[in-house]
Amino acid sequence: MLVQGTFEVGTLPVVTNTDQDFKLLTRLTTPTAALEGEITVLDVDNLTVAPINVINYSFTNLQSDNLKDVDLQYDSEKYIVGVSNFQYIGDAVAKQTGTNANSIGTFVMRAYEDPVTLTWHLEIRNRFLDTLPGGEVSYKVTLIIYDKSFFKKLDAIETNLNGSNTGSASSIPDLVN
Amino acid sequence: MKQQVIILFILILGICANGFSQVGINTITPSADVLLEVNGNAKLADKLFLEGPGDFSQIRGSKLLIQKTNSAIIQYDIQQSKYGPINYAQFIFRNTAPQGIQDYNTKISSTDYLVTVQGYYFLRYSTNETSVLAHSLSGNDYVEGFQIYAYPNSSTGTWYIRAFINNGTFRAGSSDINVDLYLNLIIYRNGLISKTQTSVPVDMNGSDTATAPLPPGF
Repeated sequence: MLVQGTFEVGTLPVVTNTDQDFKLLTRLTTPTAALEGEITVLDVDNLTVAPINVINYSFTNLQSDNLKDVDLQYDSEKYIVGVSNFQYIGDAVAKQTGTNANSIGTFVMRAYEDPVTLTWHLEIRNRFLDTLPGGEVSYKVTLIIYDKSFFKKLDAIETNLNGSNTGSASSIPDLVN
Repeated sequence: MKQQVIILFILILGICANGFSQVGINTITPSADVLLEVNGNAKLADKLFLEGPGDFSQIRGSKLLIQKTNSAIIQYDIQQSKYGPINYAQFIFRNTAPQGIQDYNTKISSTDYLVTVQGYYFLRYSTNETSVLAHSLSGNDYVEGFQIYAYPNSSTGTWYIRAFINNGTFRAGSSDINVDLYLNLIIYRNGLISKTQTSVPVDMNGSDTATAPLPPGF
């Protein structure tokens, strides 16, 4: 059936708390068989890339505990990458002697967009401390890859706290409507 | 009484194009602003194409559409549904041992769901004080890593949680202490919008930089 104008349904039943294994519907924006707007079932099991993709990563044979910059190669124009399920496996990092003897360093774990490659990169490491020579560390994380066709990346919200440790956002995303 | 009809819409639209202004099925007074009005349930045996459904630019005031296993199309009301595409739950572990959590069965099906830990914090048990240290059993010269994650247990078919400091304990001053652990779990329903992809191992070859292989399709 082809509907060229509007299509209204007077009464559409609502899901109940016993329904399960249902599928989302989508409307194709690319023509199929010369017809536009085909309504299809979103069958993620048969998709190569789903709206949300959950992928376990393991990083071995590191230089000390340092995963300084790994290019994950996910196109930042198409995807948003999040990090979850973190595992630090292996030797501790060692404090230094002398002036910085009490420092515990700075542990960082982040996925970020690289402005040069326009891909997502990953950093996991203690930026200031390392393991003792011969120490071994590996990391396991679960990356969540969101397709921007379904998930919106909002603009960054930057707030100057003027040296304070409390504050409120300088602006809010337009999520009211 | 509702009547279920199978409609040859292409044919009807063709008739309309040849001079009919409105067509009503099970009604003799179709609305003036539509070409076709069906008064009853409709069953479509094949595909549906909507060329001009319009766009909806807001995130409130609309519902997703889903197809049930019996092919009926219904509204997806998250408040009434058993689950959403993405679900959030905070797991709070009171009076947790200084060694953290080694194995906790969430009883969430690993067949139906994907579970991830996407945030956490901890407080001192009973006092809610934030002055909790991660103490290394190797001594004060070391800073231990930690592991806070969910994993599927193949024996139970459910997701488990681990949350602990490697080779260490939670401590205040010089004493091990029990803590309250707060874990933020994001729980994805399998087969709806999320999918587990093949794991990616990356050998860093002793370097601190690398390029990870891109999974197929991305």
